[in-house]
Amino acid sequence: MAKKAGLRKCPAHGNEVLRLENVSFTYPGRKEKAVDGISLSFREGEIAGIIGPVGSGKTTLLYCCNSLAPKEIRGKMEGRVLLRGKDIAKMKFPEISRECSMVFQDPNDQIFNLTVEEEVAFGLLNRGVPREQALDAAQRAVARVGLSERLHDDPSDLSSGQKQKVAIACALAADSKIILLDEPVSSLDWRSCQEVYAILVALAKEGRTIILTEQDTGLLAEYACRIIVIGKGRLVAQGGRDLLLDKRIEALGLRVPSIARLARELGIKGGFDEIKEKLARLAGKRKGRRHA
Amino acid sequence: MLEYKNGKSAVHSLDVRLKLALLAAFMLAQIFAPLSLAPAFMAATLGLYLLARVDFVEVVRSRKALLLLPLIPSLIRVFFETGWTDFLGIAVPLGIHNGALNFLFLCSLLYTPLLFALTTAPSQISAALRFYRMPKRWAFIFSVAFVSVNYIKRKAERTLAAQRARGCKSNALALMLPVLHSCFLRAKTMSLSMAARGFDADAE
Repeated sequence: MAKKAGLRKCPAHGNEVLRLENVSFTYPGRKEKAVDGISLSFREGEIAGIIGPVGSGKTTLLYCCNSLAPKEIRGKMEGRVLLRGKDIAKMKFPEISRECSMVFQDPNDQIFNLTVEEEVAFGLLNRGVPREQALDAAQRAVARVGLSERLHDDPSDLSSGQKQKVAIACALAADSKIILLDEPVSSLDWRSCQEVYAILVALAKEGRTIILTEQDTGLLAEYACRIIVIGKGRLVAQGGRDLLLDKRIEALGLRVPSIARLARELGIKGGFDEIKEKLARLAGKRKGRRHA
Repeated sequence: MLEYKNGKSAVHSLDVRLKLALLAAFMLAQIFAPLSLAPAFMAATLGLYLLARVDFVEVVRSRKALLLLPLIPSLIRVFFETGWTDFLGIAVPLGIHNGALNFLFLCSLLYTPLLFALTTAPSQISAALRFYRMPKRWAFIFSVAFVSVNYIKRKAERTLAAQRARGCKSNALALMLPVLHSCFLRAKTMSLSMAARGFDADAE
């Protein structure tokens, strides 16, 4: 099911929800910019995957998207971030969190309540939503990520994959239209990865914008609508998944998806869909020959 | 040390606001009552542990270092107070008499709030503190501090295991530094996560 979901096309005409205009960010005491003059625009319903080598500024870029940098993370920021046309610098966190949620790389760092239910309701309670309503919304969000039976459990007893799902449920309960995820599956096994991405695809289908950083180009090839490549804080390239076949990906020290490596070994050329088709045909022929 | 233990006893299910008020009253009564009543207060504390179905011996055993707090001032009284007093018709040295009462008084003062922490979920503590008009910032600090005890304990265990696996002998400093470092890092990420979820310590 997850695989099928990943094959969806990107929405072509969704409304713009987030725009970065020439955004730069420098950490205190450092000369080089962690993010250097990046301009991007994100639309409703898209899954945008940001890739780049370690230390290339992916996480800092995410922090700029919801103004954690420079409001909480000290540093000098230049440029503007517009959330539905409104300058995020002039907005306060409770207002930003209504539109934009963040899932951190290590869910252990963001989970601090004693039950899954309270953890998920935390954001809503901060907004002043009555406790009963907040807990109701939390229950629904937890059900969406398939953890209803763990609602009253201590989150620290959950597996890494389940904790990551709780973190996603927090964003769901908040009903945020934009979800930022920092390498959401970096510590998960393959099955959990597929489950998490299946949830993200379902959310994107509802019109939510998913912006995530990822090291696994294979997952991005399967699920992301748009790939954004970052190197040394700068925007290197952006485009569809065929961008993952570009030589610049390897030049940055990133691993190209295994399907692309296989195609290269077999001398198959073309875009992703073309490669997949040719490989499927090739596999069909071999199967036919074996049967004969 | 202050790890909440889930349970279904009368103490666990008591309304946390009432529990907090009773705790404050109990502690104030101990402080202002004559020292001779210390055994009665200690007996009451033990009774509360029984009622809460929390094993007092296990609590003391797993927190041995805590015993130093009542022990040291009591020993000072034992060694520095001179004279004799009458106890149940028997003449006993005043230092030992007062030292023993002092030990019971401090134990009761220490283990009653500990029982409160062991039987009350941190989120409830925060809500109760807010009920008694404690500023949101401080109420939240208390509740996160209680929750974090579990994290620090786990981190210390892992660090100790990692150090032993590499042939390191038990060393408090070598254990404390990485644990503190990781606690600061966690505090930083946690504050980011709270800000991203709209937490405003000054908002009412």
